Amino acid sequence: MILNTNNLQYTYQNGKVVSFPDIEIKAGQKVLIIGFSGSGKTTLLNLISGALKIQSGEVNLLGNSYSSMSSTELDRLRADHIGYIFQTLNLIPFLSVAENIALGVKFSNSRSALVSNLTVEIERLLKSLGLDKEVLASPVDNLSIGQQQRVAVARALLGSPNLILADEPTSALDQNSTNNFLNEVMQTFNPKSQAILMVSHDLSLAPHFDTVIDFNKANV
Amino acid sequence: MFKLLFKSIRSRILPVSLVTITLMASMVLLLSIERIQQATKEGFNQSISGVDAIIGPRSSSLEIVLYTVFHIGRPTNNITMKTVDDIKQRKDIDWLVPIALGDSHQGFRVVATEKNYFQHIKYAGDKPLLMSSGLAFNKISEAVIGADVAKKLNYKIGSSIQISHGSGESIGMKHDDFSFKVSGILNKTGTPIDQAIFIDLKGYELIHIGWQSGKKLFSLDRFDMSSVTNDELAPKTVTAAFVGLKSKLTLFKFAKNIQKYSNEAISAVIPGIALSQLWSVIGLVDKGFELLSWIIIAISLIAMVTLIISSIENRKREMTIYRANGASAFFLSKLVVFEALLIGITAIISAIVFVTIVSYLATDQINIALGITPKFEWVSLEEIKVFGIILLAGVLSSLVPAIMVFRKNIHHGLS
Amino acid sequence: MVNKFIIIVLLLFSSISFGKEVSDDYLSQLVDSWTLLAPPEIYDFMPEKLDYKTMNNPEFQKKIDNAGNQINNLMDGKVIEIAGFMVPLKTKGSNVSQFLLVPEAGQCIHVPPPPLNQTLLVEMPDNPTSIRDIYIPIIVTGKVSVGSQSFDIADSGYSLTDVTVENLTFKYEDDL
Repeated sequence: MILNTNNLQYTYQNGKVVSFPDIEIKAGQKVLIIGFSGSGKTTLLNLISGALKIQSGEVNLLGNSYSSMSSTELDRLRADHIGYIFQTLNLIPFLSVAENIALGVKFSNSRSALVSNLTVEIERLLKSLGLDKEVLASPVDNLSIGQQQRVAVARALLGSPNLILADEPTSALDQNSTNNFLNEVMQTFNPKSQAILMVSHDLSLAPHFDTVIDFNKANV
Repeated sequence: MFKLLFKSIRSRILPVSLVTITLMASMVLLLSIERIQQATKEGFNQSISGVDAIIGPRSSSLEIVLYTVFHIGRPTNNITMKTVDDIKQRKDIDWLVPIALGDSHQGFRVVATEKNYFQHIKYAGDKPLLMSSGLAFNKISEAVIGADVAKKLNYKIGSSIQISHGSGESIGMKHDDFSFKVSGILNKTGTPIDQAIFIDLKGYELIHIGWQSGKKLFSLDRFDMSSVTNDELAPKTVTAAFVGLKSKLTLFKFAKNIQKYSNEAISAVIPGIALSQLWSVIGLVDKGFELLSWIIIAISLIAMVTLIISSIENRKREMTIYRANGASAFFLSKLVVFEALLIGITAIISAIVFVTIVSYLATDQINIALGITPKFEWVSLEEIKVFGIILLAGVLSSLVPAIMVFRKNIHHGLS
Repeated sequence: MVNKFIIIVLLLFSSISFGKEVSDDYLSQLVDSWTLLAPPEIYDFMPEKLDYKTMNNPEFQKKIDNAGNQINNLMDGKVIEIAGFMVPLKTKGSNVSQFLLVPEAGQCIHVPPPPLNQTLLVEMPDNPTSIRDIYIPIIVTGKVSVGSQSFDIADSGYSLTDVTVENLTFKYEDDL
């Protein structure tokens, strides 16, 4: 069991209360959560990543219960075991592509240790995601959206963290690119130790995943 | 962390540089004021050595010190040579040097005195006045000039000088009927002596023969020089007299006696005491300047904090990405604080280097413009303390945006 | 744009040290005007060659004092340009409408007044000028009238009317 959540509930500042469906994720699982914009998908990811403090309910990652952890401990947990992909603007423009990817292991000693040769591993990931080695020499701003998102994936996968969280990473891509993108992602991650949790509003992505949770229906 | 910090700063190099320069400028201001203060005080204190008392007309003691030692201002009264000679007889006096001030040459003050001036007057504690070339005047037509005079006017031994009447009180009145010849050039002292021209009192009297009520009645060409004896050229009045006592213990008694002198209204000024009066007056002005420069530094620090706060908005993306990859809020705060630290240290070091190099290269100009000699020293202990305080203030004030970052991230998660 | 700004700043700074800068020749002219006020013949009693004894002779000294009181009537009505120092007599705020012009700064105040024929009474009742410090040299242009007047601090042999006043600056700036 990599992740499970229990009775997660969040009250926003405007008073709105959202209850999240319980989630259970094991190694190898590819989970898609469907919800319309503003339904709380990003909040769910925030709670699961440990960046947002839990108000009510439980989140358990690899046996660690979030409610009993301090924010520093949560940060460390995230650094060691979670890879995060944003919807857009994943990359820092003043760092090189390689430096951006290396951020994945920068904040975790254990994860760095798993990467014996950083350059080799980065090149392997890029290749698997359909990116040319030349991408490494390119400034971040020159990359297409598709390339940027793939680099973000490489970062999230570097050092093999157990849980990959992705917040609508395909919304800026067209249908064709989206398919290619998800294919490459699914073929690159290691189903023996890793799992993927993606949120999106796009139901057409469902075929790429083995579990689909419709948040719209489960919402209060 | 530092690689990330440097690259981040580099991407925002323009605003960061501007703030650093602003901070640096304010510190240059503070440093300059403080160093000029120091140098001035030292310079003043060094200019008067070994003179126990100055005998002058009854007037403000500060004024007397200013015009006799620093050649600032003008004497408004004289004392008679008769009184001076009388006082010279006193048993507690070791030596006495009379001086007469009034004329000038190309902006430099002329000091008429006796040859023993160079023997008794010292500077910077106990350093004697030595000639870099030539000798003290032997003849009435000879003159000794200070190091700066020689340099600025390019005078050498044998150069001819014609003295102007007054030091700014007259227009175009020259003693052009008599030329003095430079017989000696003094070593550089870093005191107003460098900018003075010395002649014999008798020479001073000579060139004023034929002058009455500030008007030249006849030129010396018409005057039969042989008709006047050396003794007759002895001055009737002088501006003041420098006195050295045999024992410093008798100083106050001496001053008191002079105050009570019945034949003429004179007083004895103790230079050290008069100078401390000067410092208490100037001290107030200095405090004012200091306050001003501290205010300017505070403003610069506020500018720095403003920069950092606004940069945080720009760096939201950067920080969120770090955070998503497991950076703690503490790490993010460190980025902010270290940037402030870096800016502060760069500003401080640049300011020190700038001021020290400028004062080194411009030593001569500063000397001529302000009459002081800046000391060549990288940084003093006092200055380090002050900079430490400023750096601390900078770091502490950067904690404000750092804490903002901290709280924002914990409560808003990633987006 | 930047250049314009620099020029304006420079102009501002230059206007602070406002005064007429004089060449050596012009300066001699201005100073020589004092000689015009003292008729040249008055010192004719002085022998070509002087010696110390003669100079100190009380008779000689008396003659010199008298010479100082001689007025040059030919100067009446003449317009002159002359340089000297201001000794204010009648002031209003920071302006002066009547002052004495003397050849050497400090005269009448720190030092004895000059002779009668070297003291000018300057009248500016309709167009007062700003008061200058006694050590600031000024150039005064006006019409001379002959006639002595007495004041507490000095006696004057001439008056000047229809006057304009300017500051005078020398080539080297001394901060004495």
